[in-house]
Amino acid sequence: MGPWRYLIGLCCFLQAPLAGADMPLLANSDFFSLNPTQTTIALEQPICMFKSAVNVYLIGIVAGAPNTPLYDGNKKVNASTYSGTQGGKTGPYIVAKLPNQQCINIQALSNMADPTQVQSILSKYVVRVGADVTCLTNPNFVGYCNAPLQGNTQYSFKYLFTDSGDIVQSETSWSLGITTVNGKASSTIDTWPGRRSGGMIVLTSILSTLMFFVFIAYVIGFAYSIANGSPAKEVSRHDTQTTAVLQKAQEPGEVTYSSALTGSERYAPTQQA
Amino acid sequence: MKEDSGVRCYQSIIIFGNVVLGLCGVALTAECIFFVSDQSGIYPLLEATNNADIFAAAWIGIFTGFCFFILSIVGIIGIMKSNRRMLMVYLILMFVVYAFEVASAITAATQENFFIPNLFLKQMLDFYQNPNPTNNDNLWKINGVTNTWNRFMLLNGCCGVNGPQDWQTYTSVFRQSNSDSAYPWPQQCCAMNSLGQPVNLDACKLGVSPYVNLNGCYDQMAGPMTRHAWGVAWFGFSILCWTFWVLLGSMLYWTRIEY
Repeated sequence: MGPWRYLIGLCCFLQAPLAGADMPLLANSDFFSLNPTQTTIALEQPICMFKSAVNVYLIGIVAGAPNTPLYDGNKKVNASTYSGTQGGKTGPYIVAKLPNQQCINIQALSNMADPTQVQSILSKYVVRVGADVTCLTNPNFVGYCNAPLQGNTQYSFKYLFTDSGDIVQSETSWSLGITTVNGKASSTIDTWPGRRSGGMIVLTSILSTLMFFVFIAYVIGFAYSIANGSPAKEVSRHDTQTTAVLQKAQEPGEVTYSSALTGSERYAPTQQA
Repeated sequence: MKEDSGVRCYQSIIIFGNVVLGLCGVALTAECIFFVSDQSGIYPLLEATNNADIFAAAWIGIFTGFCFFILSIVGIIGIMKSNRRMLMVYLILMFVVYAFEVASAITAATQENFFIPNLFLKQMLDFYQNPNPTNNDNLWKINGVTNTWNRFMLLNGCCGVNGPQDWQTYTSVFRQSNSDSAYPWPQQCCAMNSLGQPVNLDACKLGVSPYVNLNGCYDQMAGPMTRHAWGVAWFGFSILCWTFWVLLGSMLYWTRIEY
């Protein structure tokens, strides 16, 4: 027991600062996709981090801004607002004041699929920085204005755990920098379809070729018939013609030639001039 | 009689070719009427990008299909009577219709290549809920695109071209009148209850899966457009391949007819 005493003592000693080594985290990306957005960031609430606190203050700051003190000598929280710090550019500001959630009966995030439970899970599990669009322009607003953030800016967050009198009992360290999304201009989207599809090339080339051959066939056919044909030409004789038909064709006063022969007999498979 | 039966055989082949051509013409007309009627309502999206030529190709297809049908009847009668004038009319008109159908098929095949997701993404970002139309034509296109996207997203349970991240990755005219905090993506992307209201608006804004549609609409848009373009282009192509031989045969028959 002798040497173990020091180990237990060391653990007890380290427990206090180690508890403060937790930091605000982005809400679980398995459930909360598309986080952060251009002007909002969804963070996990600090459930079961410091059980004896009554209130939790979420502090936000633009990365690189001067780190002015968050509480005075009596450890009372300094009131600082979004508009007072120009959205966190001149110092940290209070994003929201939340009640410290009870560390019992924690619902699993997978229960969010149930519409009756989702609202209570959201109010206990996540805090959305930048959610209030009206508080900056509303003259009657009281409280801490959780106004929308700037796009493409890196922010850092911290939780302060206080009692009912706003005396700080514990705090987390500053979170890693979280950057809001940078919206690119739509003119940067390239709409060029790339190369032509193979089907289109095949179709166009084959149809163009067929069109050409049809045209050539027409030209040849018309030229041939103009060169060889004339209405006064004598009817050519076939071996298959009967004499009766021949006499019929040579009668004078015949009005038209076209009715003299039936269809098959007018077609000449070979020219017999 | 051997020559006679050879002639008869040749005639019947060309008549058969014309019969098939007439039936295909009717089918082409019916298919193109179906495409022009635009059952999936994608025409406003194409009109806004000035890429509506597949509809022009379908309109041409309606008329060429009907012309193929009528001309095939003329051709059948002309072949049976071996009437030189009728066949000349048939051949000349068929050439004109053939040329138009070639144009229609090539137009449809070429235009289909332009349908990539980025095309619709850019148009959606530039037109959807644009509060400042520049002129009446622009206003017409804006209304067409907005109504079409709203209908698509609500009916098909999808959001944007690739998903809600389209609205975050890019700035858009939608953002001019809808702040990112209140509307990170349009409310039509949220899962709706039977009254047409979001099931849970906060969950939708946070991107929680059953309460916002995380999948994109491009697949449901691309399907009808591709079928439209390919139907017009490739059916037209097959008809033209068949008509090529019918025309050559008819032309050959025509040159051999005696006056």
